Amino acid sequence: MDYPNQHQQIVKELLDGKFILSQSNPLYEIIKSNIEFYKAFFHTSFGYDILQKKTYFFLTSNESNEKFSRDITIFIGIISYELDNEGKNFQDLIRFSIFEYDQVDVMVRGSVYFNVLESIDFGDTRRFLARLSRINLIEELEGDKFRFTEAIDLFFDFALTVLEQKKEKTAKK
Amino acid sequence: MLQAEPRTVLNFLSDKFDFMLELIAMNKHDAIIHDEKLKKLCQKENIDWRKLVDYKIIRELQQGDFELRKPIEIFINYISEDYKLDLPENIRKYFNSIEEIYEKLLGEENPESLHRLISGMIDEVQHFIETIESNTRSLLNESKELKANVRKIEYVEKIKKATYFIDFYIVPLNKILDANHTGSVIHKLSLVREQANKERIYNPDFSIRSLYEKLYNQVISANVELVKNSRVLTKELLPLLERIKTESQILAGFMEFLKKPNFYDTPILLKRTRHATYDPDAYFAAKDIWDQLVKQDEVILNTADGQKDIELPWVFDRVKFKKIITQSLPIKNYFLWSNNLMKNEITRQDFDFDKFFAMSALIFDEDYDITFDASERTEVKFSGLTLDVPSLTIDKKVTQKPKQEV
Repeated sequence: MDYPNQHQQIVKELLDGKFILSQSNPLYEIIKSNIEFYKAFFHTSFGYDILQKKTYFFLTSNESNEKFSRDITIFIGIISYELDNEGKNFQDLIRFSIFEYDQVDVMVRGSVYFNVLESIDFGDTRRFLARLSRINLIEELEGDKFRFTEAIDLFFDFALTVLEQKKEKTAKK
Repeated sequence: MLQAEPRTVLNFLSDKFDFMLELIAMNKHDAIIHDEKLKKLCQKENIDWRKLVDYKIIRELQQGDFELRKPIEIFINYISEDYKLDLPENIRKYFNSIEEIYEKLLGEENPESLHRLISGMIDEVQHFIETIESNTRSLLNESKELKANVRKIEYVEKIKKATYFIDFYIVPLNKILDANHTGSVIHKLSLVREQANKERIYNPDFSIRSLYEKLYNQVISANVELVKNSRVLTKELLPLLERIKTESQILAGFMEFLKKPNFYDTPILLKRTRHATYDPDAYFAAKDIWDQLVKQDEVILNTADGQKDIELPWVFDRVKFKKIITQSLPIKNYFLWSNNLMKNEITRQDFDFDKFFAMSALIFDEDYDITFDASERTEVKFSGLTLDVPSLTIDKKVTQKPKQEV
């Protein structure tokens, strides 16, 4: 049987929990042209589903003990709140600008939501960001800087679904 | 009426927590619990309303309606972080009480009165801190609600509400916490701290010094809390009007999520697996596992065809030899005895040097008494080696009974 080019690399990166991004990763196009094969492959071999978004792919499983996603959402929620608090357009900043590690560390530790962050497995800001880098949610740059990748949209979309759920709940009352 | 067991009341509050939240909301909305509404709610939840009176959760009023008892309301609000805003006047009263107690403390010398006053001051400072904390948190929650604007309040209405919060609660609270203002509670607390600091060192009465020490520590930590709350006021609440000018659905969603981070199901990512599919050592790892699982054929040694017997290595059995020694006590000339014993024991091997030392080590045990005559020696021969050793006599150790005291 013929496998798509760089099949081994694609499987490895997706199983490592990485987002495969359209802008920076040539694997994106290979997956895109073989999407039906990969859907069947991951579902049959591992019981995982490959999710296709506009600008990225990633694998998802139904394991309920995955906590990292919650930690990430809390972190991004706090960054968004604090940037807005400074009177800035947080969405544009998170999507397009470059952040410094120390700047983010000061921002989250001075936040009124820091108690929420303390209740999760956050630890050191730099180590947490390194974990985000491993799954391609941020791209590390030179000089202690980084930028968020397009995978951030997954969490922005999630925030919108939370709001919808809240509105439905409020309307029922 | 019999007083309800505290545990029973707590169990009731825990089992019917959602009912209690509805009851509190009802009380908050109408400032009273109407008889008809209460009975309807109780019927829906299958609760006997008289139980609420017995458990001291509500109090029956003259006209037949009810009110929630304060301690219950405070307790439930406290654990569910739903604080009620106090009037600035209610907070400012702490200024008067703290000032009054402080003035009395300065002029008081009677130890009993001092005890009472310092304990009273400690209580008052604690209440003050709790009140500031719950009010700041409550204002923060209100400001977040306004910012998120899930209910889609009109812009003008939103500004009106924010202005009301700022004028009526936030600015007065900020004045109370302003350390530079001599009329603030914080300023008064700094005087209390100075007094407590002096007295905790110089007061001649130990118990008074201890109480001042407690007061001093409490005022110090109160100051830390107040600075924290003051920072929230300056950073989050005073600029409220500016902050609510913009609205974002995404931010509103995040704020709702941060309120209850465990309530919503976040996007499901893949939990990283430890073993990569393409492990370069996969072959050897699999072979190891296979080798452990595969059933080995039984090995049969065939010695019937005139083959030489297989010699198994001799292992020194310490327990076995110690037992033989104990049974053979007393032993005269131990080295000679053990030499003979080992020669009989090891039929296919010579009694070598290592085994001799293994046997010798056994007698240095606390169970045996060793005696020897310096003039009497014995020779123990090995292949190519002869040892000249003393003749040891080994016997069972006699334990001396402790002398009985007369």
